[in-house]
Amino acid sequence: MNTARAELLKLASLPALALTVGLTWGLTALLALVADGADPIPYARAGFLVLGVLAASSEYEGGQLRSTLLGTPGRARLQVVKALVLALVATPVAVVTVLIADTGDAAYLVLVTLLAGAVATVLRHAVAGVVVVLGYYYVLGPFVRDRFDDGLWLPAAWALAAWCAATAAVVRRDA
Amino acid sequence: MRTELLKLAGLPSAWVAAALGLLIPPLLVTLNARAVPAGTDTGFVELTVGVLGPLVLGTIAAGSEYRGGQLRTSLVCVPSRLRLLAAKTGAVTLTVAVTAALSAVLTLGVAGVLTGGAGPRIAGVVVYWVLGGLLAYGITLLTRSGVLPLTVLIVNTTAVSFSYLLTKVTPLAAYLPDLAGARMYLHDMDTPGDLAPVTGGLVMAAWVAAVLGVAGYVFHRRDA
Repeated sequence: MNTARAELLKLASLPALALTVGLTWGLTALLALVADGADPIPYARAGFLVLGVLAASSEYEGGQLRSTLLGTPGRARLQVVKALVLALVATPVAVVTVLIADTGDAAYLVLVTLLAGAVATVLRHAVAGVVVVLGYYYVLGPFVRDRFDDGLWLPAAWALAAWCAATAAVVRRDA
Repeated sequence: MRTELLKLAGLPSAWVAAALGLLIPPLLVTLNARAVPAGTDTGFVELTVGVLGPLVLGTIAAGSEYRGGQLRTSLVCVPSRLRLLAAKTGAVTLTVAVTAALSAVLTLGVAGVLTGGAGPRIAGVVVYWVLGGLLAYGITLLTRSGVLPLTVLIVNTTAVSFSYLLTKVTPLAAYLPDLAGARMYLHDMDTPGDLAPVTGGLVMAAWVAAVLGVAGYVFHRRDA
């Protein structure tokens, strides 16, 4: 429980995350107002991907992870708590975004946030994480995704698999 | 300038960026070949998406200086900030231009539309990529972190482009850097406005010059 509180405090006190959330809401509201007919969710999704990347990669700026691991030596447990806390933070943000946009699925946005967080944990670098997740979702994805239906099970499976990979990486890798 | 090229070559992520620029367009051409009928812009549309490579390259060229205080070391060696910036800008321009030319020839070759008359349009692609890379580079100099410029610019190069959305609100959006610049080599654009290739290039160059001017001023004045 203490671990969860610590992780929550870390996420809540990152200015970059607050900025990302603010920009995402502002942009969604603007798109919902101005561009009639266009779905704001594909744009808002970029905000959630960045949210996940920044939340995870912040541990790797200036060796913060070493302090974290001194406080919480159980690495696998730490990663599980991180995933839960990120989901906890992303959920209200996603619900508000869906309310603003008046369309979309909050669960999907939470899942892509988790996926982005896992990718950034493996890569340990914010810019690399942004390139990979945005490159997949916006450049490569549209060519690949047409072959699958847009259900929730696929993003859920990916988020789970990516988070398992991230946990394995953190457990096995030097901090 | 040699130092700046060396710094860029020493960044693994710069090589990844160049590889992205080189490989994405031919890959997309191959993927698209079955789905989209060939038109006058076959290959060139994919090259527009390939600008992703230069965007990443420009971002890391500027952003890498701000990791671990590398910039302070750079400024000890080259105290004149404007000279440092000019050398860095030159290194980015040169690297992107070479990548763009190679990628354009490769992509059009794969698409089977590499003909003698394609020369001016390939030049347009090269200019578009260089200006795109410099735009990302200039914005990153201002923000000192690559996350914001990359997010905006990557999303903007794709199917859900902010610029394209803006064209539905105001015809002035045709003068945004990406849409104006694409006029240099795309013939069939379903956006309003009808800029000539050279005009489009000049509009995009003006945007980039403005961003670089502001970035240069801020870089000159700000504590490292």
